[in-house]
Amino acid sequence: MAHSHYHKPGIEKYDFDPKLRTVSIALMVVGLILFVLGIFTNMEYPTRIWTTMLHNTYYFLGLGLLGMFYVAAQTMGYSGWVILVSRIPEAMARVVPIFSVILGVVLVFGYKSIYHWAHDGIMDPASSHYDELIAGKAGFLNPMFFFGATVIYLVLWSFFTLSITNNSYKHDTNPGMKLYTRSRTLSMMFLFVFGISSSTALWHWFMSIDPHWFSTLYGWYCFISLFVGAISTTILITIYLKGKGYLQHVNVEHFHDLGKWMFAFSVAWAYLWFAQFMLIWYGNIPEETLYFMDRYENYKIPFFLNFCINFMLPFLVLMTARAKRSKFVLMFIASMLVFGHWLDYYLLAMPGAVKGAAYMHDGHVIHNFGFGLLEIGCPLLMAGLFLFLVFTNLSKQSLVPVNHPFLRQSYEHHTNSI
Amino acid sequence: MSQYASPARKPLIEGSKTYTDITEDICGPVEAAPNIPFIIGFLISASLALMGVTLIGYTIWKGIGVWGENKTIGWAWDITNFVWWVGIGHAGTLISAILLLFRQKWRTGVNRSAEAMTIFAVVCAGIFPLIHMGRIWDAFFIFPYWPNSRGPLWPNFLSPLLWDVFAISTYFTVSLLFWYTGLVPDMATIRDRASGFRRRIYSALSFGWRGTARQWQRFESISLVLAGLSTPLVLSVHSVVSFDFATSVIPGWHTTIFPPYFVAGAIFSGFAMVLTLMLVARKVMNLEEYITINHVESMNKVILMTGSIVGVAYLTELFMAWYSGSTYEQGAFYYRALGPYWWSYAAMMTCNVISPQIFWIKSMRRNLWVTFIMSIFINIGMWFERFVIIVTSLATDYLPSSWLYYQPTFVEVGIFIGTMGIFMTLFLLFCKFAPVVAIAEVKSILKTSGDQYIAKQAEEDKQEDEFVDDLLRSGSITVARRNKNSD
Repeated sequence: MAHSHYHKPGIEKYDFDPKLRTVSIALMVVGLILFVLGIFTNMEYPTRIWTTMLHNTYYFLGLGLLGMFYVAAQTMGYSGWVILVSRIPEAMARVVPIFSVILGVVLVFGYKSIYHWAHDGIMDPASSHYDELIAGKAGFLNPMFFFGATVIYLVLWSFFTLSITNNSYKHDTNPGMKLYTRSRTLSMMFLFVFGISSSTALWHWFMSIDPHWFSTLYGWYCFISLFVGAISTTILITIYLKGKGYLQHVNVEHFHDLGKWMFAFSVAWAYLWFAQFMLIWYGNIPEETLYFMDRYENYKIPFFLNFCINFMLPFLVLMTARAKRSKFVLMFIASMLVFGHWLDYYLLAMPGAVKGAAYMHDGHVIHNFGFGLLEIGCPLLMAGLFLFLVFTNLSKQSLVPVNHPFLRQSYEHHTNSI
Repeated sequence: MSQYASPARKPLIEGSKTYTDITEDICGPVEAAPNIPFIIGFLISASLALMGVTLIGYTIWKGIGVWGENKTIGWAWDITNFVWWVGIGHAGTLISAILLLFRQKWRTGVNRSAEAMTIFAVVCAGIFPLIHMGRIWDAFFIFPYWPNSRGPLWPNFLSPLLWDVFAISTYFTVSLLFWYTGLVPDMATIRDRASGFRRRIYSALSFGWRGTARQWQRFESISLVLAGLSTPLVLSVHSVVSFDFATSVIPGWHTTIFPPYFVAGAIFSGFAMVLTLMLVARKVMNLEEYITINHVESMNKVILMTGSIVGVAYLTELFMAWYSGSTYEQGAFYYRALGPYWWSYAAMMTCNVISPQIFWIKSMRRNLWVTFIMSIFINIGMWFERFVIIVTSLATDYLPSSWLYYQPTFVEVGIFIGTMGIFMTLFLLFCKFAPVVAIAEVKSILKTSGDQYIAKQAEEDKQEDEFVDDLLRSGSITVARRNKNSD
């Protein structure tokens, strides 16, 4: 048989480019300065400060977490083509433990500012702020449950991201089937845990920001939004590394397939967005429509941008095969989507939190569009940290999982036939 | 040059098949005279179908007063059956469209029969909304047509029931085209082996297929186009079916998770039906080397995944009903689980969520009896899911003074069993007259997924990759005993 051209790829080391390191540190420094300035100029809005931190910490944690999901799902699906790029989402996944710590700190110190249900007197019938509906949810919305569950989610996610990636790295020096089989077992366990916690965690952290509102689809919607973000981030890092001369065996077919994932799940995101919006609009029950009314009235620009960037743009641009095979197009769309889903999470968090805080001030709603130094500084800071950590992780081991049983299939990924 | 496939992948064609073997094995049952089990099965199915048709006629003649529906529960077995049948069809579309995009080679063993099931299931599903109209001739008015003889009146485009008409008819059309396009080269294979009148028939059925390069090229193009059209259909059809309920304001119906949850449930039930029928068919028609235990395991994994998704959705609904703080939502789910229909809720939970969890264990996924019993369980459980959603939500809604208990009459039961007869009759005819496994597609994966080729590749690779040594040492890769010359 004619496969003589195959030479098993060897260990490929990545050195953290000093220029990129400087950029990531500069991002952190600039972000921190802007953020601190933002804090000083917005001292009267602690809700905005803490909500921004929740939004950005979870968003970058989620990029890593969904990177892990991507790897685990591909492992369980016996994916062959993806192996050459799988080290990138793995490196992203390893940010989860560090961002978990930050998220924990944000929630501990910020939860009274972020969550209307945690405000004083909300659940106290004697208080003027008493809210019967929220008080009825005390079984779920109480600090004990909230923090207990938070610790469990973060510990489990950190455990699985570290153990799955460690196992994969160990495989480089311990060839054979044993560690591959173990990666399947670990991935399976992670998917089970994640399948439940990806919804329940988001109910606690984000859905409860709008404490009157509820939607059964919420967890899956949040999941798919970040999933597109994680795929887009993987594409951006792959293109960057390829541009620097690494990952020489990654060819246009790999990009085409990554582009298909980005396209397909952008459509899936739009499907869930539409399902949730349309059913609430059609049912027209005030308790439910309130959520969208608030965003439509007070956050019109991000509300429409969200749908345009995250659905219409990738849908129209990535439709053709040629677009998905162009690194330039992929880079453009992926950057837009990383921003777009960040905006989506902004819309999940900020409007409800600001409104909840306003209720505490004589019920007067401050229509604070709330986009300034805080909302620019914090993401820069977190993005810098994310970049720094991901590329540090990448530089610690081979960019190619040299002993993966499907490596050669990824190497020989030339055609699109079944 | 054939593509490389890692020896770590399981073989999908066993018994060291050659291209000739594949043709012989799959065309054999079509060319042979019908055997006794087939005739018995056909007579039973056709009798049930006849009974169903008779009872449908009786319903149309007398009106739907002959059913057990009452003033509170206006949707019951009819719509339950409709949703159940539409769901059954989904495995075929998933296998032919989504698994094609994911390059899952195991789809070639079961895609043909699953696609056939899609079409027959949609036929059965379509019966129910029509006869539920009571005056069946009114069906004419659900279709927009031009010129419009209804004056300024049109069907209500804002009604999800009308969206359903579009969704289901599109689904049927595209599925039929996809299925038949795939059949054309295989019909030609049978034609070329036949003579006389048979040859004339299959000649017409194969549309003059000659197997030229140009024909294959066009065949590939149209397959891709149809796969592109089918992919959104996998999601959209059952989403639109779920809109029938979720756009309302009935507690237990109005919930945003319905579209993706209905889709997952549909795939879940569809795979169960594929397994129920194919486990029998592979045995009776000697297709065990084409629909292998590895195929069964893959399908059981899909069942485990979609069953777990459905389970998460059930629990989400329960949680949100409580969390919503709405008395009616809470009531709907309280009565669902503990009210007069608690037994149907219990059956749904047991069959759909709890029992499929045994598929976490590999030996269970690869056990044919366990798989067969589980597939029956899931068919039952998914029927009860729709019954739970439809009937229990209506039975105990806003006004306690209107609460009623619904029981089907023999007519409804008979019609449901009758549609099973129709489904089985069509399926058996398909098994008799068309190749039940896609010959051309199975041949396309032989060189990468045939057991002898995997063994050969492992021999080549064993010095190069240690995982191959591990596989050979553990006996996971075995060279088939029957060693024909393999090219």
